[in-house]
Parts: sequence; C-alpha cells; structure tokens
Amino acid sequence: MTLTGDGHAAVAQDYALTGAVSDVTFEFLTDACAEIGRIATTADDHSIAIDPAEKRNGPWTSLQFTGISAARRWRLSYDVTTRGTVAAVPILMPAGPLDTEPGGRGAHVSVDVRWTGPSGGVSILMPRLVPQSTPNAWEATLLAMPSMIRVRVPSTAAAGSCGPDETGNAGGLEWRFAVFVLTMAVWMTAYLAWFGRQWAARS
Amino acid sequence: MGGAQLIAFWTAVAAYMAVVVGIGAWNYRRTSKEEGFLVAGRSLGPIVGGATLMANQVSAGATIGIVGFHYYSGFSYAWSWPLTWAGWMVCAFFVAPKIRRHAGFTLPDYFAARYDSRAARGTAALFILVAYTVMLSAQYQAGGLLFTLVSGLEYWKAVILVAAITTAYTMLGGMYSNAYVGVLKAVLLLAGYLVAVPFLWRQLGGLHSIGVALHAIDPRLTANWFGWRQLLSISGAVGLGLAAAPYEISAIYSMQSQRATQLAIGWSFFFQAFIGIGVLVFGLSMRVAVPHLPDPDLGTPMLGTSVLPFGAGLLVLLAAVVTFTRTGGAILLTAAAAVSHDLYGGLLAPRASERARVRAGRVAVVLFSAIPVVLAFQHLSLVNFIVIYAARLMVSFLFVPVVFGLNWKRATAAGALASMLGGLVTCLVWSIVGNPYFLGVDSAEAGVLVSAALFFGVSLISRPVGAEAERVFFPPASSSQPG
Repeated sequence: MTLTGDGHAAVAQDYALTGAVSDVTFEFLTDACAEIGRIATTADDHSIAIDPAEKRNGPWTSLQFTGISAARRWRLSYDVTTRGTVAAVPILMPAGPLDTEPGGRGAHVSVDVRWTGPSGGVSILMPRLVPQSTPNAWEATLLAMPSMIRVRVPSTAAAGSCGPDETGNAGGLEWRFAVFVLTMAVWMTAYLAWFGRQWAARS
Repeated sequence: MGGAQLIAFWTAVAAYMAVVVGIGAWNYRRTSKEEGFLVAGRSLGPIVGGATLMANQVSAGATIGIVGFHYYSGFSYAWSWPLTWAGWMVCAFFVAPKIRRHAGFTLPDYFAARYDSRAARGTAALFILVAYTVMLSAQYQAGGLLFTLVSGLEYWKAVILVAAITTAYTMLGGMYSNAYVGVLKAVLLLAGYLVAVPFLWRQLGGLHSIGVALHAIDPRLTANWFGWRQLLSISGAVGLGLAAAPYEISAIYSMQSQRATQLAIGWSFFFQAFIGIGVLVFGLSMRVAVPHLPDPDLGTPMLGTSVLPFGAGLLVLLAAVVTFTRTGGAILLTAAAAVSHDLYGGLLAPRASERARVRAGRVAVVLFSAIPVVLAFQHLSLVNFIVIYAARLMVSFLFVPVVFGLNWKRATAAGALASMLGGLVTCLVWSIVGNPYFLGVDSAEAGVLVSAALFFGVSLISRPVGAEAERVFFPPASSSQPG
C-alpha cells in the first residue's frame, strides 16, 4: 500500500492460490472516513473486463467474480481516498480463510506500506507493522488478512475531517454489554458488602 | 514476531521464570513440610486468596479459549461468567466454610474424613487424575499454540517447553508459588487488559461500530449465538464444578480463616469481571479486525503479536503465558497431592515420613506432567472445548458427594463411592453416545443426576458413618467457631 501526502492510498494486492478456482468472492469493510475507487483486477495476468456482482451487507461489501476460467493468481489494485488525520484503509479480502502454510498454523500474508508524503509524523496504528530499513516504509507478515490498515497522518497532509460513524444496526450489542458489566459490578459489590458486614457483626 | 520484538518476548518470559524460580527458592524451606508445600501454611488472606481462586479458574481456557469462543460466536458466551458465579455462591455458602474448618490438605482428605473411607479417598484421587490429565492438556495446547506463533518454534517443541516451565516452578514452590504467581497473574492480566481494551475500542470506532460490523456478518454474533439452554449447561458444568474443584478446595484449605475464604471469593469476582470484559472485547474486536482466522484459538496470539502496539501486545502475551503455566501449576500441584498425599501417603505407605511424602509429591509433578503432553500433541479440539469437557467430567463425579456430603448427615461411604463411579461413567458414556443433548440432557447433567440418585439411594440403605466423621462436619451448634 502506498500512502501519498494528499489523503490518497494506492493499494495493490497479489494472491497466489494453492488451487485453481473459477468463482472468487472478495469483501471489504467500509469506513466512514475512507472511500474506495474503481478496482482493477487481473486473473493469471489477464485483465478482467466484467464488473463483479456487488452486494452490500451493513458495512461489509462483497464482490463476486464469476465465470472466470480457473485462475491461480489474482491481482487487485484500487485507490482509496481518506479524510481526517486517522483513517482505516479498507483491504479487500477473500471471503473465507486463506490456506494454511505447509507446517504452519496460518496463512502467509505479507503487508508492505509506504508513505510518499513529507517525512515524519506518520504512524501505522493497526495492525502492528515494523519499520523497514528505508525511511517511511513498514512491513509485517501475518497469519490472516486484516480487514483494514489504520494510519495516522500529519494534520497538514489530511484531506478534510472525519468523525466516527454512528449509523447502522449494532444488533443490541451496546445495551447487552452494559447489562453484562452492570450485572457483574452489582453482584461483586453486593457480595463483598454482605459478607463484610456479616463478619464484622460476628467479630 | 521477529528480531528485537522476539528478543523482548523471550526476555520477558525469562524474567517471569526468574521471578517464579525466585519465589520458589525463597519458599523452598517453607515447603519442606506438607502444610507448606500443599496449602501455603494456611496463610492466604482475602486479596491474595481471591487472586489465587481466580488464577486457578482463569486458565488458558479463558485467555485463549474464551477469546476464540467470542471470536466465532460473538457476545452471548459472556453470560457464562455471571452464570458461573452461581457456582461460586454455592461454594461460598455450602462448601467453603465447612471445608476450611476441616483444615485438610486435599479434596481426597475430605473424602477420607467425611466418609471415614480409604476407598473413597483412593477413588476420588484416581478420578481427579483422569479429569486433570484432560484439563492440563488444554493448558499445554494453548501454550504450544502461543509459543509456536510468537517464536516460530515447532508445535511439539513449544508444548514441551510449556510443560517444562510449568513443572519447574510447581516442583520448586508448591502452593506458596501458586499463590504469589496468582497475584502476579492478576496484576499482569489487569495491566494488559486495561491497556489493550481501550486501544481496540478506539481503533475500531467504539462498541457501536464493532456491533454494526458483527451484526452484518451474522445477527447472532451480537445477540444469542448460544441459547440459554446451552449457556446453562456449560456454565452449570463449569460453575458447579468449581464449587467442588480439587484445586479450588486446596486453595480454600490454604486460606487463613473462614472469613478470608468467603471474602476471597468476592475478590476473585473483582478479578474475573475485568478478565471477562477483556476477553469479550478481544474476541469481538478480532472478528472485525481479522475476520477470517484459520483457527479461533489464534485470536489472542495474533492480537498480541500483530495487532496491538508492541508494549500492550507483550503484556497480553505474557499474561497468557502466566495464565497457562500458573493454572497448569495448580492442576499439577493438585494431581501431585493426589499421588503423594492420598495414594502414596494415605493408602500405599501410611507410615512414610512427611519429607518422603513431599519428595513423592515433587516426583509426581514431573511424572504427571508428561501424560498431558502426549494429549496436547494430538490437538484434540478448541482449547475451551477441552476445558469444558474436563469440567463436565469433574462435576459429574465430585459435585454431589462434596456439596451434598457436606450438608447431609446421612450420606455414607457406599453412597459416595456409588455416586462418584456412576456419575463419571454416565458422563463418559453420554458424551460418546450422543452430543450435545442426548434425550434432551447434557452429559454433565446426566452424570450429576445419576450421581445424585445413587448418592441418596445407596446412602439410605447403607451403614451410616461413625460419630467422629460426623462430628467434624456437623458439629453441635455450640462448638462452631467463627473465623
């Protein structure tokens, strides 16, 4: 992924499949502060002219490529426009676990990020990447595909501003979480208070 | 991880080991007698005791296994914490006061004293060894996975390394080490989770954003993946099992007083609440940040190695290392006590000196540590499934003769023996015949039902226990001592 100093990110992905597949689905997690442009795709070095079937499901978007003759190498590239000083650059992932490396516990995913804007002030927040020997470059090898790469850029290089997205259906997770925390807090406090008083009374 | 980060990880593990060995060496002279080695000289106060109870319970099944459970099943499994606490309430009201007053060393000690029966002691010790072999294999498996991912060690070598670390500190320090390392475990877990949870929360846009992403993947992730029936059956096995768990009983024997014991249970709730929230946020966040892990049990290792910033990741990884070595240590210590104190000292060589029994205990730690290594090599299932299976076995043969035995005078040795045997066999057969709810009943529920039927039925038709055994656990009201 290459980040430029004007709020753009160019993402290039290269998948080497262990088996040939003809129907491939990729998916990505949209972010309120990042917008994905057109996706260019090649399968076994042939450019794919057809547009994938796009399906939205909440913040997830899936792209299904059908009718491609069994391809083993997929390349995808797209631009992302970000707003604000902290942005999550969406990563297109195959919609399922990648094959595990022989003798390993997970897949082999290499992530490489470069910053071409003015030096300094950029940090990769998540996942954890290690600085390379060349300046403004980071890398990591992961066991699985991350859904995003979160970066912080200097305010001078940020295009516009952006806040968290409060829309969408969270399925009641927030109130369930609150009830869960409250249950434990009340239980623990009541227990200690009751037994504390019992023993104080006995002594 | 590689380079400097890997060096930092191994340095932290080495420092932890040095602290553990230091605690062990410092306590070595205090553990030359059984009271020191097995029950820490009955010196634990409420807070250290609470950390000890929590540290026994919160195993790799929680820090790695439950994170994996939340990763693939979402929020609902969080309710297992308060449901499990119901088991702790049973312990606080019906088990802990009488067990602490008895002042034994091991759970089979209780069986020997309550039922005036060497056979009950031996049977309990043998069955505990079986269930704890399974439980210990889960700790080794979790540790093996973590070390493999962090360092690139081959899995089998990583399992052996975990077993070696666990064995070393248990041999050196006994219950004193377990207690103090329990406190260290509590501090590390709290510190790691207090740093990591806000970080994940912030990076993923808060709980609302996490919920929106999860709900879109599968609405059950934010609601009820596990129904109440499943949660009650799992938590019943784990919670009620804890009320009679041998390592928790040993910890209760190690407390200063009944007061310390009951307050310690409250403090263990405090530690568990933090950990419950932490593992929940870890699992849910990882499902959004890395949605397609090849194995849910990789959630915590990947969180520590690749997602969190280095310092927070190191704390989370170290807390996991401490978790599986510490709980493994508690299991080993309990199993060693079953061999040295109950089978060797109680049955085979009753005249053996105390020093000889402690030596037998240390040898038993080494020998017993080896068997679960072989099971861990097989990678039987998800870590938390193995822990739940061991809990099911344990509750099926221990809950009734311990909890009802402490509170029903008429219980007899024959009833306890029939109950243990019937409960364990039923649970094993039920697990093999049908999963998960053969005839609408879970294997642990079936085990407990059969165990209870045999316990009451056989007790009523067999000879009551002697007056002395009765006096220890059912003293006249005037002789009950507070504190």
